[in-house]
Amino acid sequence: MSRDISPRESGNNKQRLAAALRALSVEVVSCAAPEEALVQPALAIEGFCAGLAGRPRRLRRVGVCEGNEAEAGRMYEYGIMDLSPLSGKGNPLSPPMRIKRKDMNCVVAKVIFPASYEGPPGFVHGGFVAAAFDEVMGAAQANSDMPGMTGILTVTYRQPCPLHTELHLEGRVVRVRGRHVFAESTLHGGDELIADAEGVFFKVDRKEYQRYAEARER
Amino acid sequence: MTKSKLPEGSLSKRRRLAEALRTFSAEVVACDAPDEAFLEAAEAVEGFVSDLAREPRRERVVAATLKDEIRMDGKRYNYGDLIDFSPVSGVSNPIAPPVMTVKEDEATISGTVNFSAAYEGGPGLVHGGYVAAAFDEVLGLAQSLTGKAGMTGTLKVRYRNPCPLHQELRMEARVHSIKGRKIIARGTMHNGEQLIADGEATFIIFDSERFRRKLPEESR
Repeated sequence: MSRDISPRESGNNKQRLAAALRALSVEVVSCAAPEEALVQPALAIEGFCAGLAGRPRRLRRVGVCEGNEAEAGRMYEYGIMDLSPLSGKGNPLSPPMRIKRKDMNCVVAKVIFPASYEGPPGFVHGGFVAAAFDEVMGAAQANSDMPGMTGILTVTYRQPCPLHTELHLEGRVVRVRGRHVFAESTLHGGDELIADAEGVFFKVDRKEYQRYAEARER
Repeated sequence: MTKSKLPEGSLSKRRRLAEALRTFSAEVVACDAPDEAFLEAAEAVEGFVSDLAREPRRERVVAATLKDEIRMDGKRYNYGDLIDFSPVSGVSNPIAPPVMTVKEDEATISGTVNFSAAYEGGPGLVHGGYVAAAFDEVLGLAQSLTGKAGMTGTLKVRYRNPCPLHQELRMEARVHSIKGRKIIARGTMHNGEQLIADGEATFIIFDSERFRRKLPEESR
């Protein structure tokens, strides 16, 4: 049993819970608490989990371009982002990245990665720099009204990427050739270029996406 | 804020809490419930956060050489604290799926991972960024098998087939070539027999003193 829900429907309590879970994840990796302090939260979380498990599963609408529903010229929050593990306000895994449209071909994003994303000491895990690029370039592509899937992602790392620091990304569609969409992206910390990336995305027919959605088992 | 080592016995409790959070995150993302259903949990979790925030911070120690940094737990393999706390493969990190990274032999790293609904990108599919993150992890670990410390220069992932959620995915990574200070590692991700993606990373071998100079003040 499932219900079609617009991603924007995620309410205040759910977003508050997602934010609290983010902060708890930071504590789990950062605090040097004795074992007793960790048992009670685990039991409580397991209990809450059991409480939700009986509920129906939510069916996300296939339209990756919900974010494209903004009126021309208006800034908007990238619509699908409630669920995304990189930019979803309703997803405890996301930092979250805040992505906005800059123009027809370009999106910009801000993100701060806390300690739960640490790789080398004091720096963001390189895999999450890559993930941030995938998200931003995917957003740039969907923003251009071409939902698609990543074909090739190439990241060049210039500097270590600091934690706890506001990072700025820009993602841009630079070329379209038939089904292929070429995008580029940069990540800056202050004025420093931390990394840049290129992506090749393949436009996906909405019917094909629908097939994936229907095949999904939950 | 004071720093201290992890107290004895807390790691297993930490892993249990991380696992509970993983399962809960998947539920929060996947379930259809009225907004009020989340209020009680939100308040409880906020309480746990303020309690734990009062505790000392975990001290992260970085060994002087790569050889000393490498940690093994059975066949599991990683750098230092990342064996538990990596956001990709750390069993104590709620963000991590986790990818179980194993040293198969002197030349091969393997990984297994099953992505829950919390990692969804396209419908029923793993977010491309997490596929890339998994490659970054296993390729970096493959590179470390050479015994030389390298910084990632580039990472390239080719997505061949859609990557499904809820499947036991298998990864493999090896060093492909060493040319002067440049090491290239390559890897694959499979779902059963099907190739999901392949990846390649180049690493530049650096001397550890330069790296330590780049570390933030408090970590040195």
